[in-house]
Amino acid sequence: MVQSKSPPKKPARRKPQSASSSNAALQAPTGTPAIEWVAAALGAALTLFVAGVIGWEALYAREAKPPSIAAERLGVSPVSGGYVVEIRVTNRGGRPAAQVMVEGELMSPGVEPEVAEATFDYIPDKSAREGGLFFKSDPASGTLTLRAKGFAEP
Amino acid sequence: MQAAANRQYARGLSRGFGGALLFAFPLLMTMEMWQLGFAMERGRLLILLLVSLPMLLGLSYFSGFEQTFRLKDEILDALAALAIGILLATAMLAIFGVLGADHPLSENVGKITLCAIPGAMGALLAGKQLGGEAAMAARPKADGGYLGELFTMMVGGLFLAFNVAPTEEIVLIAYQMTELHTLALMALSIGLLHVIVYELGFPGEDLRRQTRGLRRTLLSFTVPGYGLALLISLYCLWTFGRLDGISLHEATAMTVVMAFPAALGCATARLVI
Repeated sequence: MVQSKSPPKKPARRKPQSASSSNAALQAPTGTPAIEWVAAALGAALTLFVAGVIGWEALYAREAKPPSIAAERLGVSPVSGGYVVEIRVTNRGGRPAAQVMVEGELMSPGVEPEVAEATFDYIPDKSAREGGLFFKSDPASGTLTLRAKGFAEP
Repeated sequence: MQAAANRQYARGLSRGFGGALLFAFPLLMTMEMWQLGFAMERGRLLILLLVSLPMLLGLSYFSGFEQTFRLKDEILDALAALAIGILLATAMLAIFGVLGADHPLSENVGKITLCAIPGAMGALLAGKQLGGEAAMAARPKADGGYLGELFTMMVGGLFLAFNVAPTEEIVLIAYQMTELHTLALMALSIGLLHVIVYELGFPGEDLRRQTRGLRRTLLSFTVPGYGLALLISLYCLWTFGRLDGISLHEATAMTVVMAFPAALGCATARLVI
């Protein structure tokens, strides 16, 4: 009976008192949080992996063998003004090569040989890059020879 | 308790990602970094990675994700920074189309590693840089003494030098300069280093700075600072193979060119770290 006199006032007063004490936990975390271990473990794993790959390569994979570059023909498509021969250039040597010049010579019977060139910025060792050579006459009409002309040490 | 600590550390980590992105993006978008990533000598890349570990540890001591100075936490922070650097470099280089699924693993790993190192440094620096004012004020500043100050200078110099070291422009500038230009650049580097250090001083010794004479600053900070800058330059140039087969004269010019950003980094290190 006594409570019914002023019911709206009481709950409003209590609220601020009960919420104040639980906030203190946010300020000073003492132990090492679990997520810190997870992040560090991830970092350690990634670093070991990376160092492993580089170290293995430093010790075994990189040979002193010079770049050995071969060009192969992928396909021919007609384009405006002639044909494009798509090529893949592979470096099977032990070192990367820069500014690799690849030349294609098209020998057709009765016509002067046609030469096209492409330069590949970088071809790492054991890697391939693709490009194309343009010719005016149809490569199917003659014999096309591809060769790498030279490179620079990166 | 645990949940709150985890949340706080996760916030630190995401700040770290932000910092790594901010500090490493110029290098992530530099063509020479990708090329050097696979073209540079593997042994030197491995040494660079190993050298970066104690440096990250030291950086974590001065500014990390946490406000503690226990060795265990410094190691964990340094490793977490490496995780951030590697993950960020992988993601960004993949988005830029630099990495290829058909490229050999060692090529992709080389590119990622080279870009991950400045990223990891950025991640640790962000602990302070992107932290709120309150967090900065609450943190007791690590005072490593004179050696600590030299270390700070070294990290600052290395960071700035690293930003330009892979570019062709260093070689080009060295070619263009005559002996007179080289001497002028040296004088400018030392002068700037001295003025910045003398004017800014180092936190924790504001009182001493008033009494510290011009000559003391010169002897204890400027001269060793420029020495550090030269050493850092030599190391960066060697790492990227710029010194191979180069005459002593040309190598000296390149070192002086590199020492300019390195000296600026040394001088302003306290602003960043």
